[in-house]
Amino acid sequence: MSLLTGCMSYLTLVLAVPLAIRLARPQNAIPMILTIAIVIHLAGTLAGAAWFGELDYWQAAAVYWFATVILIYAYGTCYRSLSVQMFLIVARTPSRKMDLQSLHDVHFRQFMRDRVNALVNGGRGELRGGLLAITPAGRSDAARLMAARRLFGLSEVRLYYGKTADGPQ
Amino acid sequence: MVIPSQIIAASFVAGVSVPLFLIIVSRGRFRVSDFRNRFRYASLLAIGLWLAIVLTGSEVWRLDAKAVGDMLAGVLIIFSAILTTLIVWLLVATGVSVNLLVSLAAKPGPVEIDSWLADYGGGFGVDDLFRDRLNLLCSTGAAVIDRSAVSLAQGSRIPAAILGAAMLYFNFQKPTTR
Repeated sequence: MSLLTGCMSYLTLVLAVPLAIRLARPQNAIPMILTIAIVIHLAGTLAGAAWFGELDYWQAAAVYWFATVILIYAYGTCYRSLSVQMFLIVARTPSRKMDLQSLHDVHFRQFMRDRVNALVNGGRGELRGGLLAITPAGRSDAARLMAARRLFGLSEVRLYYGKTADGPQ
Repeated sequence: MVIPSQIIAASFVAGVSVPLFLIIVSRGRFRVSDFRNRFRYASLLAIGLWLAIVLTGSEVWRLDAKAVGDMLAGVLIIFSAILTTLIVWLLVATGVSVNLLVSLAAKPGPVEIDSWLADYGGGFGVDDLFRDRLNLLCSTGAAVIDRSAVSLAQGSRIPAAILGAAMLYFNFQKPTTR
């Protein structure tokens, strides 16, 4: 019954998330997904306990939150993954093949410009006479990120394979 | 049934230990130099800790439905913790927006965007990032490089369809081929 409660709660979340995203149209939906997930978890737990009489809370919660973490991971991948964007660009061509130069010059550079625009739209950067400058909010976020990097010993790791790795080009 | 059993409590302890083990294997004398192995070792250490706590406890040896259910829940709690740590760790380590923000903060003043992007990483730039992500696509078997073109690997149609469906589900505009 606990497993069923967790699964039913997750099914409700899976149905609610696309509706909420289409109604609210947030820039980044992760805070909204988390809020909905907590509300559904509470309601599902109460409903499960009332419906089945007895419920093992932790078993139901473990199933539900494990699946929810996967949903959030999937959202993050669709939201900003450059490799996924590149993959979909190639997949959408009729021949499922694309010239590397075109992928780089036309699409990849645009993806990077989108990232820069996101920094500006998110208040982390601002344009001053055609130049990009960091804002106080951006500097504050960068300081936190640098602290996290130092904690995890990540000061020199910024690419998956490193610049010296054998590249496809 | 809200007070956690020994097994569930052990699972939370092991879950919290994932980022702590990751810090341990990322610094000082226990530092693992290989970026990916660090995460593997941290995850294995956390799973080992969980097994050690659970197997030395009494609950698991009852082998009743409650113990089996709690073990299953425990596995899910551990994997949730591993996945959550992975999401945050990858974002901090290789996130493009994160790298851009950190790079911009290190600059003494405003930058000209194109020249900054060409070398935003203090030794690497947008071209290197492109090759890095192409490497990722090829190493996962999603795409193959043939001379000057990239094409979808055989067997990638189903993953592409799943990704397309996920983009639709989350209401993301698909990248267009211009």
